[in-house]
Amino acid sequence: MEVAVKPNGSGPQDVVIGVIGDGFGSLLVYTSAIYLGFKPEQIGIFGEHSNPVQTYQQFAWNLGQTVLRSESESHFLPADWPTFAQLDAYSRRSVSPLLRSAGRKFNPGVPEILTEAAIVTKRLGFERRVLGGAKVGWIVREPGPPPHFSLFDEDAQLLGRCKHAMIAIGHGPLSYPGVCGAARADPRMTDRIVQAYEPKEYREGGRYLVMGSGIAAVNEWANILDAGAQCIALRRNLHPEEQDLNVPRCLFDGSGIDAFQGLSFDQRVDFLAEVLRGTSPERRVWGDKIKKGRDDGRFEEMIGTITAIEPGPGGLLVRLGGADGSDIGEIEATGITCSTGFVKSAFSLPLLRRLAQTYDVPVERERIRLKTNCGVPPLDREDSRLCMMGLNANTVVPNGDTIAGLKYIARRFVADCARAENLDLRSFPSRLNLQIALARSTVKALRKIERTKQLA
Amino acid sequence: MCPTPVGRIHTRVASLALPALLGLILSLLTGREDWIVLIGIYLLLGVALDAGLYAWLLRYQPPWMTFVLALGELGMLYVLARVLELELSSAEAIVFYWASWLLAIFTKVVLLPIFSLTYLESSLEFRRIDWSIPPAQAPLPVIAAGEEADGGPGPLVRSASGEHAVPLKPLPGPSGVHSVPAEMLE
Repeated sequence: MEVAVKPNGSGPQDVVIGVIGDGFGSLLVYTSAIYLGFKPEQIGIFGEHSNPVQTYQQFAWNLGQTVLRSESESHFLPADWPTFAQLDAYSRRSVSPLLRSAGRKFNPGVPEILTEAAIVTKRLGFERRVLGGAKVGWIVREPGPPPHFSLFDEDAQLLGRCKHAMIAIGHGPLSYPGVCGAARADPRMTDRIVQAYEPKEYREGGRYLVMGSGIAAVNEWANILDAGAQCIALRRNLHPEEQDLNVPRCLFDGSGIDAFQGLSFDQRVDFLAEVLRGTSPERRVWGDKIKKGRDDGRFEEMIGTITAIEPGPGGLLVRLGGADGSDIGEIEATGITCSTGFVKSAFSLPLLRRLAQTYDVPVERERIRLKTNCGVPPLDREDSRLCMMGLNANTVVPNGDTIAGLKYIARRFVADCARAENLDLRSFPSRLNLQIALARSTVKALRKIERTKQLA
Repeated sequence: MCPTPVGRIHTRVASLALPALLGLILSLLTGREDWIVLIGIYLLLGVALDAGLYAWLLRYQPPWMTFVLALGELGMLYVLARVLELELSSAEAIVFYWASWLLAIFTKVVLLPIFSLTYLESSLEFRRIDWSIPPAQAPLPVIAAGEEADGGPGPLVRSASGEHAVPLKPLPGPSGVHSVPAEMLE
């Protein structure tokens, strides 16, 4: 298929690689493709926004997140050298990030990593490759020759065509478990049942329940205690893991990921349910706050769940149940924060639901049963790939929704496309030159922003 | 970093290319072949340790461990050089070792990730960029963190529930997006 995009962006928007979605994942596919040797005009980003960090930035702001959970290797330069700690150390003329990184205590600051993403976006011309300016609603397999995909928006208007496509549409909607979902639908209580990723404000003297046991929950505990309020931390499982990463560290490496891929689909889903049931990192600053809150009688953890919610004089009347099903009693609360992440069901995303309905894409336990190369059966083929990344692909790559996991998938997908297109790969000196140019721009930009305090 | 045994050997061999070049140049300049021989012994020692000891001992290798291993390898290499009666003084051998180690680390940290895009995420192996199937790997142990919560409701929940619950001060909801419709406010 010929690439037929005109310089002014008009005309049919046909590209070799189409990325459906405009977030972190799409930026990483784009940078990997440029790094390996694709030209910008061969790549199309089909989404609404030209800023790939927009969604994440909003979530991070709402959470009050200041540092990433990722470590030094997880950032937006195409190759793995320099690491983010090395960039930070060089730009600030300080060995502290290197020492922290050596001890695995370095986490890139949110402003710093977003600055780097903005530099990469601009320098590699990502913004100019956002085509259509609309969300993709439908993917249609065209038999060709050559085989390709037509992409339509929600109103069935053709946005463009691509030979290979990566679905990088991110998470499903925010999750409100159990009775919280129903209570939130009641307008008398909508303002009191919030998600960690939503904008919110805690007030002194209030009492807030936080559901969940992951990093977002711990962050909310700290925010509530900072506001001078009481915090009751509710979680359903007895023993969350205490670690800095979403999955066990060795699962970030190829060997761990491939071992994971060697399991059956059911084993993989069960394994994910086990390791992702709640991981809370041990961070010194948070630990101190929580200890002080506990000493002041303002913080308490309990195993259990919420069984009923009603409007009450103090805000809400919440009935609590223990892990064994026993009734703990009713308490008044100012609000409930659900730190329970996103809905993982493929059916919660209209694009995937339509894909499953139209092409009989196999879905099991509400997850698309991807091939071990993240391909979407039966549409994916070697000469015209259709892949998926992010949380929807964590049944193949367990850390698929982290920067490291997104990079892992992006690189392999782009390499498949390069092989299918017989691409002349970029030479070693050219790669080194590109990487150093991006690193230099990042370093310059980092010097202009204030260093984010490390939490570990 | 969780290198596989194959990844360790790939890395060891590739990272000693520049030190070997340095050894070759020194051998040619000084007329003493012991410089390049020392690198050869270092390579054999390193591969033996990678295959027989490190792969078994260090499933996960934190970055700081690299320097600790280098100190240990210096000691072993020094003993081997003495046993094999290499004609290098102690000072020469030690300085050459650290110069070689720095070159090897530079190769590993800077050059190899550029040369092979997936080098780091492929457990330090040089693989084709592909969806491959390497050996199994065990996850890290689970650390339990729930002693307090396991004990049932504590004083905060008890004081907030039951007959003697202290009434809560009415405050606005935490949402920064939604508010209760005016007609529903009493």
